[in-house]
Amino acid sequence: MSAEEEQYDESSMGAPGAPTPVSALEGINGLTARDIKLIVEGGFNTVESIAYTPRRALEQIKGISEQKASKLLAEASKLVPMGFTTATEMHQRRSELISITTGSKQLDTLLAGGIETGSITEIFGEFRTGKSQICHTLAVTCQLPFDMGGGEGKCLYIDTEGTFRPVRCLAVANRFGLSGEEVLDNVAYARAYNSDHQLELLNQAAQMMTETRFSLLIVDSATSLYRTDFSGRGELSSRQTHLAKFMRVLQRLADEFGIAVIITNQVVAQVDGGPSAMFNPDPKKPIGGNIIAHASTTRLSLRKGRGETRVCKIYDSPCLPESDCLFAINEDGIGDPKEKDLENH
Amino acid sequence: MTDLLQVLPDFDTRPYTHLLPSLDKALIATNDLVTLEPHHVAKRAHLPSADVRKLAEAVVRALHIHLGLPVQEPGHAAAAAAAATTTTTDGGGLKDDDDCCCISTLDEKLDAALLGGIRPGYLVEVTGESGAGKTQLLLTLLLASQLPPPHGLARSAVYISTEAPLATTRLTQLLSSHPSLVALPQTKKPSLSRILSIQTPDLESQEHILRYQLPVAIKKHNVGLVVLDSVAANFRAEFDKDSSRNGPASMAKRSAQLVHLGALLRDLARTENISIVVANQVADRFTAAPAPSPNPVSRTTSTNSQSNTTIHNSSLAPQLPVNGPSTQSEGGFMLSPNPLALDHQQCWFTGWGDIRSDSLDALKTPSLGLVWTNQIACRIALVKKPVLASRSSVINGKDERNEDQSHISKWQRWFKVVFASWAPPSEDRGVEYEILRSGLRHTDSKTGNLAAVE
Repeated sequence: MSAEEEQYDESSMGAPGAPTPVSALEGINGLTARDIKLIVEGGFNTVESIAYTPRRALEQIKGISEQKASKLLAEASKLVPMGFTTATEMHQRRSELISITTGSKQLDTLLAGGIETGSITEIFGEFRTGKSQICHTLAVTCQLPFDMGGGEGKCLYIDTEGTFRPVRCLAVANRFGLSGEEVLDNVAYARAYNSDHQLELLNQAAQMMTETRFSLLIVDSATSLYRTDFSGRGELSSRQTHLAKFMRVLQRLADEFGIAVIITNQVVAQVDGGPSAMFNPDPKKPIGGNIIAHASTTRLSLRKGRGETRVCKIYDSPCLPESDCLFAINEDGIGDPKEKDLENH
Repeated sequence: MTDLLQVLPDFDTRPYTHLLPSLDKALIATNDLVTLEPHHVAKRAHLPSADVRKLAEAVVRALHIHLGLPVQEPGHAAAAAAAATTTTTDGGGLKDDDDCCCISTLDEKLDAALLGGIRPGYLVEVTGESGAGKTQLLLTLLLASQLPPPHGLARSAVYISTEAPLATTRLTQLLSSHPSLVALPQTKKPSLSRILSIQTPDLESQEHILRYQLPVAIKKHNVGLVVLDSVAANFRAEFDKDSSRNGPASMAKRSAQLVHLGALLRDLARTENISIVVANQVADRFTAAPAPSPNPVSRTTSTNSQSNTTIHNSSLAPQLPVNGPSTQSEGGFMLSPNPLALDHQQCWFTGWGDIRSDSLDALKTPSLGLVWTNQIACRIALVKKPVLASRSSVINGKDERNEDQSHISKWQRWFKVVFASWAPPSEDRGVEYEILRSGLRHTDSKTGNLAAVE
């Protein structure tokens, strides 16, 4: 047994070898030949298949009790390499992850390369701070080849406010020398009309992503429908649960398909009054509360600067320092601010 | 007896297989078996009393072993074998009392607040707002656990993520810039290859990984620290609090699952003598808008499942309005009309609300409620507060700014031990710290908060 374990120890880090038949479990910890037979009849032929099956599914097999299922799982888990990976390996894999350029060098530097794939980036700010403009630019840059900072994939654009303007995408496409028609063909657009619809669209999105390569999913904005669909404190907890579900699905899509997820978020002014109105700690707050805050990996806060410039600040990120930079909203999408705007910064 | 499997997963049921189905049929739970007289149980289940007594004794003995108590009467062969394991676990328990090696936070002041660091054998929670530094602290712990004593356990670490994947870039950055890690020779340096990581997208796989894969991984890789970041994400998304769709039932189910999860993690921590640190999210605490009472605590409305106490509290409140202002004695602590209400009590165990000067809307409550609070041995709250600065210093443009005049220039953060079984709770706000490129670092409170600009 110990020799066998060692052998698995070695293999546990590498690629899983040939599958182990279920009969390997026979005799261990009171598992009888009859149990093995039942399991095989239930459709499980390898130890690996058992180890990765939830207990509930094993209990469905006729003749397998809760206790047997638990034992089977415990023993199977000991035999197969597990889903754990070392951080070195993850780091390796993550360094291969691409970032999608925003079109502005300054912004890309701030974000250490651009919008990270495989995680959720939230952009929040007041109206006309450039949230939707960043989305429009990214919808195009995500189609660029890898060496130009793109993701070589299509874009899925979920619009809840009706702010999507194909014309803006065409302008950005011109800047990068892409054919406008192709660019628009590669943007899958969906308009969401209520929060349930918005969640439902993600299921369809998963379907589409299995068929073709997508590199970016935009939800602009993620919270506006929740603001109207749920009202008052009475519905707050169901709103937040719904929102939490939505964010979980987004995270899963990001993990499974390695896409970048961008959500935009509105802000509210706090006008509660009360004792704290005098020294209001946080005059403009992103909505969605703690659920959105915890669920998004990188949070960017936008605010207006002089002229066409805007200030982007890292609000929360596991690996980027809290700092800010200027970018500009130009005719052809997001870009760097002009010299004269920079001088006063 | 169906719950015997959950109470004592390792219990050897083979000698008793003939008893269990009848006990099941008579709806006798493990609880009943050990608390009721054996002959009552035997009567109800139509079984020989002697057999039931034997089973009950075996269960009690197993429970004692499970708790690490010395076995009083080792008569049975199985009990003798089990007793052997007891002595070994006992030895482990004594050992960590003697040389109390901890996992250091790699900052002396933060360590001092915890009397050394995170102790192995306990389930510890780190809670705080988004951006407060939970993940930063956890990443530091992942590295520190690999250091030899006194800073760590010289064992590897496991990171189970339910939100974003492990930030390996930040880990390498910490490795290359943290003052207490940089100086180490290459051979002693913590390495990324000794950190194992896995992602759990939903509750079912989380349960599966924690119950079946984690124990194996701990044994195989000599793990000393398990980090779950965060415990709340899956629970919050998968359980509806919505009352229209049988919300209370769903909350009750969630409570049961939380208790199981807590028991599972505590057992792992104790039997393997490892630290288990979980991150927890927060929820806002709600305050009734303009209440006449000066007591911020009694005005808060509970956001967790113990809402019945809230009702109780609010029904009591109108009857005792007179003693509102007069109760602000006793060193600043205010007495609520109902001091036993959860809303009043929670300021001592949630980490928010025990400082009166805090504005009410900044109050947070760690999610998952009182049920989860009862599962953990230590809670560390990371509290953050914005520091406002005038806008003009950044941009002095023309007519653009009809917006807010002040904006957040930086955050002030505090590390606060709310409760711990081995350390006293932090006084006041706790230790102030900042997050630098090189990791968490306490700030000198005397030099002021604004002096620490890089």
